[in-house]
Amino acid sequence: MLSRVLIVAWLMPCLAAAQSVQENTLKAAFVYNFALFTEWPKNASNGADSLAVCFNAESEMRDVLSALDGKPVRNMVLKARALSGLNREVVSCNVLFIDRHDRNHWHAVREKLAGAGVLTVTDDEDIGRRGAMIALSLSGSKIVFDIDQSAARQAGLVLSSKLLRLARTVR
Amino acid sequence: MRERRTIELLRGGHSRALGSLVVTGSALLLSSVLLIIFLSMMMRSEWIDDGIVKAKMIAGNSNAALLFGDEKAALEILSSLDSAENVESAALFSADGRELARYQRSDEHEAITPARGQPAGYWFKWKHLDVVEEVRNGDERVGMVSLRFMMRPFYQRLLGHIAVIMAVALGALLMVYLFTSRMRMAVSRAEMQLDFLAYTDPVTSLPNRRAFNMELDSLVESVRNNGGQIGLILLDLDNFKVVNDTMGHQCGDEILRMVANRLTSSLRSVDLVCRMGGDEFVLILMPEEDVVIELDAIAARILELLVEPFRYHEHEFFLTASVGGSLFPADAEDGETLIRKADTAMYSAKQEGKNTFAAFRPEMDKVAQRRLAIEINLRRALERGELVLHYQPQINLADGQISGVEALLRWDHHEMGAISPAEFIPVAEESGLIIEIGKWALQAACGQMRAWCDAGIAPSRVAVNLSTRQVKDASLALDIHTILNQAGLSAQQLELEITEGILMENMHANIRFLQQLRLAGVSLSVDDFGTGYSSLSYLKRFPVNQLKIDRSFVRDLPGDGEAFIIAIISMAHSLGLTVVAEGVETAEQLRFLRDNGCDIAQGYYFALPAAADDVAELLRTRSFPTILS
Repeated sequence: MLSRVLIVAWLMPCLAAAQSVQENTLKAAFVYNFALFTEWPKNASNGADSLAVCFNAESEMRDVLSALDGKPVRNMVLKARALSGLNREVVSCNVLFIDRHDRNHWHAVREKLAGAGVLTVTDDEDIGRRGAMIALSLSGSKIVFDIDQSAARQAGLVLSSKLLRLARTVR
Repeated sequence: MRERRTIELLRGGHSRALGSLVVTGSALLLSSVLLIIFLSMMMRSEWIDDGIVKAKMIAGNSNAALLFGDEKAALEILSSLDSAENVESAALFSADGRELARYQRSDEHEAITPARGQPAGYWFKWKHLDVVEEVRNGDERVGMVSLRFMMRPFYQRLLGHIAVIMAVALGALLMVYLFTSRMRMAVSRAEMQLDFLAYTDPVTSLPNRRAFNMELDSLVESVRNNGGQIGLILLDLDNFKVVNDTMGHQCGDEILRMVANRLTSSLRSVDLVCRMGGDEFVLILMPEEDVVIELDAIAARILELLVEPFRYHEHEFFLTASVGGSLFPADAEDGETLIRKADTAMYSAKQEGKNTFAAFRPEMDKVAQRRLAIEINLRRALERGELVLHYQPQINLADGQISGVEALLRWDHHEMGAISPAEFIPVAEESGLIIEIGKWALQAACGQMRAWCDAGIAPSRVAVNLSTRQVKDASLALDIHTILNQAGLSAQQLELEITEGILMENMHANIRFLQQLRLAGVSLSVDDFGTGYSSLSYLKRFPVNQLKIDRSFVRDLPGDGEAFIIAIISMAHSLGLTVVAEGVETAEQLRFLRDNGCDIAQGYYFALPAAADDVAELLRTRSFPTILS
């Protein structure tokens, strides 16, 4: 099951980078992989056996991220949660995907999240610059990511050195 | 011959040393091979372990890169293998078998591609070691990593080890060789030394009896096969015992060495001189082809060699030898018989009066056989009562009375008939039976004397002959005392006749012994006076009462013997000794002796030696009045 995801993950760039659906699927695979290489503080987990991956219900990524639901991460299971507006609920997430639609809310969301162990991932360049922990972007036909290590650290998250090594930049 | 044995020994030692070297070498080779096999197995498993560890390290580092499909990162990880020099190539594959990244040390190397779904494992081949390891993230298999190691460094290291092992083995072998060859040399030196001792007479350094036997056997064998002749000369020094007894063994040994030197220096190199032991030497003569051995000439030369006196410090010794010779194959069919024939001849030479040579003649064997028969029968003669004493009266020339009788041994063998004392006494002396026989004679004579005393017809004494061998018997003095006591005789009634030989040999001990007898009252008479190595000095030193002029001088009366007998009588009288003449057969002889003052006479003229009963008749009359006329 996982392998199928991965096949897609690196087949995509070759086939059709322009097709946004496939691009989104690939981004979702990245999000999943980020979860694999991230350690959450023990108390931050919203449940002992599940990891909540949250996103705006209006996001273009909604479908592909929902597809991650039920996937295993170590000894836990991913739960995809579509949020209608990024309200207080964001604190109970483990991974929060934010895209350009949330650009205006980002500042407020960020304040809500202050100190909470939530891995913030975005594909928006602007949000990426403003404190998202991992920012996805396109470099030619390839998806690359940048990591804000200090933001992750403030949230009490530990990103695997392997992940850091794969990042295009680490701040 | 000694040299030949030495060479054999050396050759034996050499091949034995080589043999042990081969054994040691094989053992070392075997252990080295086993060590190398063991080492290569160890190295192989280390090599594999190392490969697996490297594969696991790559696998552990590359899971993220595989998950993210990051070729660059994957290549970077593989490139870390650059520092592991034995890695030839490496590749990372996704879970479905697609290659993500590949590393090659150089273009000539090819990364292996595991077949789809190939399990983790290793493949150890001659040229490569391939290791395939799973890349895991948690429990999930996310890809494969494959590494190919080249084997050349493996072999280089193995070769290095083999070289060291072989060098150590060779070094050990060299040390073993040096050590064992030194040991071998010491052992073979010791063996040679032992061998030398075993085949050499320590006194003269001549080959000994054993060496002689071996040499003779091999020569006999060679003559049998190739023809030719062997001469054997056996040499026995006649009076050497006197040297040993009077001068001690050190002097005796020195003189034996001188004899050995004279013998060896006179011989050609092919001839061999051996010392058989005691004062006996043997010469093996091996002539050139077609040369006839002239034993007589060689023996004459040997006797000539001994003529010159032997000097030891200020002493001079005159030695003679009895020499016997025999020839192979003329006289014997084998070496042992050849020695016996030479011995028989030598014995015959001794019988003929010593200082002479006798070549073996077949009739000597008959003499030797008779001698042997005599010796065998003599042992039982006493038990069978075959020995008896005859008595010959001794007449006092002053009054014609019988002054005494001489006891003489007679042997009448039940089959061989009467055997002359001249024949059996020497055999008894040589075999040592004389001690027993002599003691018996003393007892019988004294017993007879007792009987005559009881009958009232006893002469004033009975004379018994004493052998040289008897004098050496420590118990003789006690025996004489006991015998006299048992017979109830006084010592004055016994006269012992001794030979000049007793006086010559072992002088000091014999003087003491004879003095004891004299003190006890026993008369001592010197028998066969004038035939031996007469020296006037011993007459003064020994406590004798009487001289017996040998019958050979009396036989020459009247005529040649006259002056000699007159001289003996006057000398004896001036020394206070009485004189007995034996072998008196005619009235002329008797008259001459009586006229010249001889005290006592015995001989056929008066009476033959006769059995005791017959003598008793004479004793009753007790006188030969006719002699006074």
